[in-house]
Amino acid sequence: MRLDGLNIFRIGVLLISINHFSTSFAQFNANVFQRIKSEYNNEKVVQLTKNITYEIQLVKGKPEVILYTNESYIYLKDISVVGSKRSIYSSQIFKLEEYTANVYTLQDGKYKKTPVKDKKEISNNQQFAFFDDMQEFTIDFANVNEGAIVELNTVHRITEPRLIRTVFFNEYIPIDELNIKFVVGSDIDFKIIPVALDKVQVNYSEISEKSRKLYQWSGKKIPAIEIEENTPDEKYFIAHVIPVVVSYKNGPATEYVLRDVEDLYKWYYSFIEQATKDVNNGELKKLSDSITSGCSSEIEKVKSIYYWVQSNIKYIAFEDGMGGFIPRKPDEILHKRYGDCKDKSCILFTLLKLSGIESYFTWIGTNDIPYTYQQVATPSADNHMIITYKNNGNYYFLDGTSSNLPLGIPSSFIQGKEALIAIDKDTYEIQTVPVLTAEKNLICDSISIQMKDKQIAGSGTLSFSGYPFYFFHDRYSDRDNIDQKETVKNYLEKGNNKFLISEYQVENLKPFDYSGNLSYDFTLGDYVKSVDNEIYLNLNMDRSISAFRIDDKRKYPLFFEYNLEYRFKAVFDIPGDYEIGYIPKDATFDSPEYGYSFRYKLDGNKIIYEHSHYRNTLLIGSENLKNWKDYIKNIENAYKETVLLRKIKN
Amino acid sequence: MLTRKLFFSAKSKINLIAIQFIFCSATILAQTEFYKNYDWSDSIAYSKIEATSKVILNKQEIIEFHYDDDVLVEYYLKHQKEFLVTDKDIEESNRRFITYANESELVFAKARVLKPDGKLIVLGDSKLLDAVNEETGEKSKFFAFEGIEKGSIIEYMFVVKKAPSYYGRAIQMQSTDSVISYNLDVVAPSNLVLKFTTLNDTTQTEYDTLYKEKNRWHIGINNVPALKDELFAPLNLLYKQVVFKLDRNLGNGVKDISSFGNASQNVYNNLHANFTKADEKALDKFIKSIGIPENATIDDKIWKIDNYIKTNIRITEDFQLSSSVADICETQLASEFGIIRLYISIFEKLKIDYNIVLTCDRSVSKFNKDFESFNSITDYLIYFPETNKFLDPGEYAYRYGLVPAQFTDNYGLFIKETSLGEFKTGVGKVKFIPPSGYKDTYSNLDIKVTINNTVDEVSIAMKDASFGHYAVYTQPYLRLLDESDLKNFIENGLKNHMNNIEVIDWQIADTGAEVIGKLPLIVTSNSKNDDLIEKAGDKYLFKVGELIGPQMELYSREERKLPLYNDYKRQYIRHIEIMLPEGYIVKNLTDLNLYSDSEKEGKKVLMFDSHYSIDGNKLVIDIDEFYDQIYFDKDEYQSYREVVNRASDFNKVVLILEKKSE
Repeated sequence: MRLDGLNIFRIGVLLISINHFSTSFAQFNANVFQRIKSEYNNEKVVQLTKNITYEIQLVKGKPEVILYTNESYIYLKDISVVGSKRSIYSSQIFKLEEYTANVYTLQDGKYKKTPVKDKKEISNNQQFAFFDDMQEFTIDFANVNEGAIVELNTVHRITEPRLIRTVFFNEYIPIDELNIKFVVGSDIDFKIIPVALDKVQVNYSEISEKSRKLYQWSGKKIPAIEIEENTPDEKYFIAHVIPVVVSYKNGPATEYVLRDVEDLYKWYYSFIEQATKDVNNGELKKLSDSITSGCSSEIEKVKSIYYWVQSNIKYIAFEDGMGGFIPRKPDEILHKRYGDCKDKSCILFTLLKLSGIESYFTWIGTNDIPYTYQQVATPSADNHMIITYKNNGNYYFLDGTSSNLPLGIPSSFIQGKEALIAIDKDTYEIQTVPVLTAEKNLICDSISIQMKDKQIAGSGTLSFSGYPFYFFHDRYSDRDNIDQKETVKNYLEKGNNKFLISEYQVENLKPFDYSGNLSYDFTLGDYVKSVDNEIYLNLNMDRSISAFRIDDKRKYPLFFEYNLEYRFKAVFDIPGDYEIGYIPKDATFDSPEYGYSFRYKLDGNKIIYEHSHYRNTLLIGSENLKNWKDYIKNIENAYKETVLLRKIKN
Repeated sequence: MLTRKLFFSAKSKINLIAIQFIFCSATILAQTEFYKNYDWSDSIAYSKIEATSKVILNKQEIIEFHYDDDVLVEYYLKHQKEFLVTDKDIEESNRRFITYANESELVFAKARVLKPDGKLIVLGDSKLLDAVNEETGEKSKFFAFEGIEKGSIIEYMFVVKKAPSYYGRAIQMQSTDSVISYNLDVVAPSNLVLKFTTLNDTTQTEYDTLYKEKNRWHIGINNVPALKDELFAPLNLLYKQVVFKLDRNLGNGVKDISSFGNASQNVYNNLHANFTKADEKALDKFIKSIGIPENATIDDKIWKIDNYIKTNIRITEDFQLSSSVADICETQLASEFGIIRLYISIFEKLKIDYNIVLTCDRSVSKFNKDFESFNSITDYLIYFPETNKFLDPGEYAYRYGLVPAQFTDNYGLFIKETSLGEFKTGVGKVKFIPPSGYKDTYSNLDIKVTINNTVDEVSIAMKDASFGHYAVYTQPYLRLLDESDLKNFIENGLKNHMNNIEVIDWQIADTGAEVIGKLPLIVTSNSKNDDLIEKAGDKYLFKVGELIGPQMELYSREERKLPLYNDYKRQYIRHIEIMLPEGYIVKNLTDLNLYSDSEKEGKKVLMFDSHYSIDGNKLVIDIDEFYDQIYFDKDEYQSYREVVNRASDFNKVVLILEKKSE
């Protein structure tokens, strides 16, 4: 859902194909194989070169951006049976001008070069985008045996200087030699925003020449990015640079491109102007009137229109050159009944306007993007569009791409992010979208259980609010009976997989609601242990937090989509002829970021067990991983505590 | 999923085994195309349907064989009308793909939407967009449906002109959506006679005696219920379907065109065509490089040839690649057809007796002994009468002795050479391809466990041996992984086996190319897992069941409606030795004894059996679990479920440890 039209910086594309340099290397020396083999013991493939060169020059008074990439890979194992495929891409904005591809195979101690001529196009087969103007070409390298090198050189023209791509320093395989270079004409004011450069060892140099300036990073033996679970986007922890064309000289005048947010905003604003002029409002007005006909207040009208758009316009991603930035016209969207985030925002804006309600186009980065507009005032700072509505000093962030999301709750993936709100042609506002605190995202599961034929039987109620409810709703409503049962089972299962729901009811599952309940009857087999005159029952039946256990080797930050509080209560009827043999001790831990509690209480013939844990942070930084590890370990230790009941001796 | 392929072009291996018959049409008068008379009606009335998911209101297919200037072509028409119910239906319908081979041609396509308010939107040509995939050699176009909402009816119709496919085709009349009305017309020039059969209890095709211009067969059924998927249900075998083939050409008197006899000869001839001196030379050199020892047994020879080819020659999807043996040896690239030529040339040269076996993927369709047609013979295997073993030339992961399970438990056409004087050709016989035995596919565990004396740490030394179908997608690839990938692979595997395990070290037995399929893949590891111990006062609970890892379960009591078809027979043997902490006894050892079995025709075909023995503080548990049956009727499901669940029950066994009383 988040891969949106605004985001042309697709990470997959970047990591696979953005590498550099124009001149094809002469011959590879056969020694390289021996050296790489000894220096990168046990690797299957090493990226020999990653050379990226941007040339930014004024041509006929306009900045021209050419990207040269050279990448070569050496294979330390024979993979001729599987082969090596690489992709190159081309689009209106990122236009492939030329490419060469070669494979070098070792023969009699020398590398023999074979050019690879064929490229095969695969276009518009992407599942995530409805229509994609990005063409993908695959190049199939044959004969990739031990020691073989494959090389790919590309030249791209970037037709919009605001859309120069971010350059990453690491890849998912080690890089033997890295060169990143920007060659910029001296009549161009250019800057580079470095991000997380302390995470990589490279040399930097800046050389000013008469007519141009060179910015250059080079490094050797750049380690591979490791794959870890639940990390934020790579931009949070991998070294990269964001190039920015600030302005350029056009004769005596200076043309401003991206000095600051102001410039970015001006550019952006021109897109919404285009989308909202010359619209045939007839149908839209009729629709707006009918949607809001029963509404008595402005906020009710906003709700009705917002919910209508969520339910009736389907979300679809487009990748279509500048169409990735300009919303389609609202009458066209109404006719088609589908659109991407910009389109949905546009029809939402228009329907509100036709009801006499003011709202604002808003650009925002999803949680894939770590920058503020202050840090990065370029299109790299955002990838999404929503609508902002103000009422009594309160800001409402309306995300048309959601479904069943109530007014007042932002979509989970824009929490804490800066919203660039278009007030009018000259005025914008930057507001931070609030983050829902843990107690607003509450899962509360309460069960009452008995022992029946050595098994557990009981009934329970699960109530949830905020995002947990929203995501359940998404997976439950509008599904067939089999899917619904499966979803409910996944949400409720506890103890072990012999948890069988005999009956359940979904209560208050209304669209656009904030909370709801599930009530259920269940049996749980092979869970309670009954041996001789003793019964063993572990009341810690839901241990799903263990999924966030990390080990000592963890490097990268841990990321969560939303804050969460989980409460579990179990009331257990002690069988008549039994008494308590052992009951675990209570335990609590609290901190601003996270905490837990365990309480066991004996009340007549019942044991009342209550457990909760909460987390009020979306990111555990690398420096705090150890504390998190210990925190989970402590909870898991408490989970091992088991209740023991003994038969009363007569 | 947004994409839904409406129609797959018939690019299949059949093309390689068939010789195009020259159709004598000289005596046939020009005939008009039948499909041109078909169209949707201009008026379309809206009526609401009560349903919880999409309903196909009407589906019409026309397959028409037709002479276009004496060349036989096929026109394929599809017309479908759907009532959309859920958001998911709408999302899946925003794009509808028409996929066809590069050399085919889309004659026309049109689509429209009828909205619940009765408004009709006709999609113009601009809503038919292109998609390209040069890798598969397929083109597609997709309709971008606009204006659809819940309760909308979408309707589309298209005709593709393509190379005719008539040697045997199965057309499904049922799907996972319910269909109110289904109709199929198959039309052929009057000289071509087709034969039909139907599967899974449906009406028969009827020959249209009134339509004189051409031959026309028709089948129509109403209210075809949706077939809802269940775990391991062989849906493709259960759908109502019609199968047809070209049987006779009255124009030239050729009969039994799609017969197995015909196929046998063609396959033999195609595989042996154009073998040149250069091929001969290249072949000798290639055989030399394999390095087969003089005294090798026949098993060793075949395995070595197979392994050498698979580790040196890459099979590509490029079906236009040269299939000359010399070219294959030079480029190390082969098409699926070329690779078979290489194999059999070697076997013939070395005088190893073999049969080419043609069968089909049983997850798609079962070999039909009673209706000889080429859709039963879409895939190749090689069979060796002397050893009674099979080889799959096209699958890198498999080595001689084991073939993909979907080509087993099925019949096949076994083709061997026969001589008529000087003339050599192939002759075929239908025989059964048995599934591999349950002992030939295993995942066995040998686990030694020590619980420390303070009862808070469990050390686990585990040897995991897998073989047969369990090793096939791992063992051949391990040598291609680098160290970090291998480490992730092994450690993740161990973590999936036991949650929260702390891996100390691991080793993997020789993974070289020379052991693939011969020796089991063995992973030995040492690890710790203190999560296996829980406490209740001064008692300890040891979660012994978790040592065997999570097991599949079928606890749900939902009634089973469809049969169940596993891929292969298999066995799991686990031997567990546990050193208990000094001074402790286990209170509930008998919980370790679990048993369930099932017999068929007097033979035990399924079993789970776990039992224990104890000697001092050494507890030994032995588990034998096997599945010697793969197909289960609905009525046999219970017995399968029982055995499967018994293993999952074991996974939940917990032992209570108590201090010995002084």
